[in-house]
Amino acid sequence: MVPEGSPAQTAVAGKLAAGKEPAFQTVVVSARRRSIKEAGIEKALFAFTILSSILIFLIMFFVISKAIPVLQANGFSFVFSGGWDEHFVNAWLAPAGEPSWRFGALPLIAGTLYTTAGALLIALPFGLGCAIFLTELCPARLRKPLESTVRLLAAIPSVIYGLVGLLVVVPLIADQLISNELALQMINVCALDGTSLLAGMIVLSMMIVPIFIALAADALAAVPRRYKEASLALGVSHWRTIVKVMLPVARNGILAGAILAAGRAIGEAIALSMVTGSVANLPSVRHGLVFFLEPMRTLASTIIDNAEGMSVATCEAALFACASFLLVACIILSLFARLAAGGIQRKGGAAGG
Amino acid sequence: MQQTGITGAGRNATGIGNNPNNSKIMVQDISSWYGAQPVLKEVSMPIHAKSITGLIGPSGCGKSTFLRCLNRLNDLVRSFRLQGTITLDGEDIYHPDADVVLVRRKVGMVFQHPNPFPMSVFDNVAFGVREHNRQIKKRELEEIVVESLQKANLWEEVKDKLQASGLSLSGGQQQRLCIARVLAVMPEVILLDEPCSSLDPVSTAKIEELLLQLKNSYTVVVVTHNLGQARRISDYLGFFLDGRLVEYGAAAEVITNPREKATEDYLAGNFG
Repeated sequence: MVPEGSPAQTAVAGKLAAGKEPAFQTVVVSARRRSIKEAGIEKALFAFTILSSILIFLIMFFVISKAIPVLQANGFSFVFSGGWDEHFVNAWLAPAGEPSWRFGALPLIAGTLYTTAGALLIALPFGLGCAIFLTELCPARLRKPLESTVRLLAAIPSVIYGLVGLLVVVPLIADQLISNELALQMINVCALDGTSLLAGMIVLSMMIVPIFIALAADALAAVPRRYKEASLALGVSHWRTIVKVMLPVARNGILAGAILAAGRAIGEAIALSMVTGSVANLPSVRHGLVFFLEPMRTLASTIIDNAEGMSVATCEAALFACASFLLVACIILSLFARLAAGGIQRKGGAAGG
Repeated sequence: MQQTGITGAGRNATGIGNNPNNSKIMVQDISSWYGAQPVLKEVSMPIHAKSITGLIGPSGCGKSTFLRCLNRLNDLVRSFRLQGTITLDGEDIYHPDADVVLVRRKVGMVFQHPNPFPMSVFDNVAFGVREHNRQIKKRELEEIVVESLQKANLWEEVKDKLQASGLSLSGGQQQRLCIARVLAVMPEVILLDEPCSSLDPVSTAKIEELLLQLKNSYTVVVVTHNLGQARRISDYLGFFLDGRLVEYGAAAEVITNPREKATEDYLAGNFG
């Protein structure tokens, strides 16, 4: 089909009007000319796509190959033992002839899981509530401005969140939750100054909640109107319709949003580096609720905070090991997101029939 | 709590049976707008109990909007406005204190395109019942579901696949599933908005047969594009044009001897 108003069509129309050439010839020539041009564009786009996927594989290969020496030297103890900061200093100071390959990243890996889980625990219920309000309950006049605000929040650079966390959240925790006695009591374990796992969870949840709200609201707004109407027309209240009909139908989209939010939380470095104290301390549940007040550090923050160690081969390899853990975690999450999104399509397709 | 709003007056109305002068719903002088756009203009019409009222008219004449006024489904459209009164068993359903949820429970609706929920056949029918009575016993629920599917003439076709998705049924079966879903919550009035427009002739015939059975126990209002259908099933017929109810009366009367020229032209197929 020749699209309306395309150059080819205009050309044909012009020549027909002028009555100079038989129309079929013009059509064939212009079709050939266009097909050469379009084939060129298609090939170029194909090449870009191939190039970018190759690039991703190269990055994975590069990161993991750099990490292998450290992973080989430490085996499972890289994952299951602590002492990162001490190991890092040892490796940094080791004489060139006898490099130190001993690293234990347990506090970093656990810290990443704690902050991510904590942030999701705060952000998901809160975000889902906001998404429901935005799509279903919000007065029409407020909806647009609120939605734009949420999308704007999703675009704020993470260092700003870190700054707000450092200036507001950390002092608040220090003043409200940490007494001098508590700090003294814990002095042999770690310094309690407000920079903490809790601050990390709060700041991280603020960072991921906007993107989750936006995606969950999209998923809810995409629920076919016919389901909502059918439920309301049965005499089911609006709220029960949301809970029993709309949320289940939107479930996969909401899940995909949660997974993307988790991906962002796992990879977040700078804001967490600012508010968690940047110590490779493993918060311990044995300390009770003080668990949340202990300083810690995540894998991603470690890569930033220890980046100056890159000049030493052992330290470099250790940081690449951190990076490869992050990379694998993110790939797994993105596969899950893909599965969830596939679920939406299947459902939508079936519902259309 | 749901029992507030509409109660009392309507309770004994079901006993009146086939008295043609008895109206289940009384529409008095309603006009409505979407934003500034007028849709219905001064429409008044009785809807008689235990009979089928057909609503016909060309596209955009307001007949679907009218139907959606009867269960207040237009409330979903923010810019919708309505003037005039609609009473169900003598009670104003647009009264500020009226319980819209209860209105919709009493006035069920079947839509133009079959819209079963993406759940099993059983859950589709059980959904409304469970919502209205969350403590319902499993046994009792099953009875209601089976009975509703039987009333909707669907039971024989789905009895072996109650756990299959409602979306796996054919279009005609889906529409009867939607009817069963409405019947399960025991409404008094059933509104149908062009229920056969997306169905083949065999499925259409089944739905028409079903409607003729249903009018023995329910008050039925059908919007239809199909004049043959209107003729076959309606007891009363309303003809809408440009938001006005041009003609209303006993179906046979309207069809054989229309008072208005516009009705005659429409019935003759001169426009539509």
